[in-house]
Amino acid sequence: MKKILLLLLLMSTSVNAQIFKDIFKYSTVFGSYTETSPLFTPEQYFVTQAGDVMNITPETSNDYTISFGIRKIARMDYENRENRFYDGSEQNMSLSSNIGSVKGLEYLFQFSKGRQQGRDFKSERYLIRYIANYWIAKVEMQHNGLINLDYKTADLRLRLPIGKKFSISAGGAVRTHLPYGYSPISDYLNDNNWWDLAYDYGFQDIGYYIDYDFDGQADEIDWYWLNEDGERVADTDLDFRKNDYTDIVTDYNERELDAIGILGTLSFVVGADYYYFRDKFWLHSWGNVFPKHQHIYGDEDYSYETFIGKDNWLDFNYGIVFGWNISKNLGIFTEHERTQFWDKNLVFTKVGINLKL
Amino acid sequence: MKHLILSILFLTSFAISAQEYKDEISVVQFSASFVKDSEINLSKLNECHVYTFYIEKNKKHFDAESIKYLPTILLFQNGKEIMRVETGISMKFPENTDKQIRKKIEELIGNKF
Repeated sequence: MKKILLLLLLMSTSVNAQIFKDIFKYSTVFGSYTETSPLFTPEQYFVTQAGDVMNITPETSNDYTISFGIRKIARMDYENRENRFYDGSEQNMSLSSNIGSVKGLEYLFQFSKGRQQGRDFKSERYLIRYIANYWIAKVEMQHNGLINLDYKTADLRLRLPIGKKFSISAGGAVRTHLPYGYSPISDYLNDNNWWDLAYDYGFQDIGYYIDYDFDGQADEIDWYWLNEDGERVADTDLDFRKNDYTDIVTDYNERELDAIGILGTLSFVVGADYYYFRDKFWLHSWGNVFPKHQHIYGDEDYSYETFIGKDNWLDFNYGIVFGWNISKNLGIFTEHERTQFWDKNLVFTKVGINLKL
Repeated sequence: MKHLILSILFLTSFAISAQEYKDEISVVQFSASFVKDSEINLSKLNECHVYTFYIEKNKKHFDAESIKYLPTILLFQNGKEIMRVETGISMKFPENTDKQIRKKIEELIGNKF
């Protein structure tokens, strides 16, 4: 019995070691620190009453980024490695499409923090993808403090390869998102006057009239505005709405959307991928259609389904990367990506030509 | 733009009809039914595409790849021949052929990361 147990233990250790080896094979642990001078700021001067010149250009410290993580993401054959070493700034087209350059496990765990243009930020990206012959699984969480991007997604599909270059896939995808479509300020203004919100923020308006022709009759009525400290911040309603009120609206929207929180939608998804590469010509294209949706997480009153009154709106994304070395000296290329999720529409297009002289 | 799309469609149709056994990383064993005993077992190579062609059925591939000895193994990456292992008149692969092929495949995959 002891021998059997010992044998099982040895086998289990050996299997675990192999799994461990497979998981980390081709992976890279990286860490980097980058510091650069800030973007050019035009110098600003102030001339005193006495005629002295003072340089009042705001001092900006250097931009910097600290990144560390572990990655096992294969480049597509048409992508060159940007640097000899990974520093966390890499962008891989394979992460946009459903299939990658290799089958099996790929992952990226990356954390960055730093300062850009005087603003501190933190960014995280965690991604695990597994591509098998007949199924695909992908889980991703991204928070990018530089562009205020925050989402989580989980995608599980069956995949049907048709030949070696083309495949179709179908399954379910869970995507988290903000309450897209819902506008708190529009909702507020349906039941309230615009100035009520200003009162809620501690502002106060005081009416006055102007008698242009001194005939004792008011020719124009307006209001000037005081902040909560009693300081005059606007001379007219228009002045107030153009300045302080825009901040109030932004803050109100953010506060209300934060209170609603993150929502989650489960969508049926159908995708297709095509990949062909030769040194002289390559074409990589992919597309996904999300035709049916189900709200699964968060306050349903603010779901996109409730907002547009149906569960079968069409979300989609697609991309195409194409390159053609027409001759030894002449080449053309194009990259195009489009994403239409909820009421968000993102487009990226690049077209170019290279002529070696 | 229209011309670009038409060009892409034309080249795509060309690409679809191109020899598929050379796509991505592929190991192809060119053999014949009478030398089956000399073949190498490639079924464990799961990080690449694997093909076995028999001269009785796929003569055109043998001509296209100028196969002189049976069996012969070719390793392709995106249409390019990366490695050729021939048996010669002995009809036996050199020792450690499978290890060498595996090592080369690992090198090719490693270059993608």
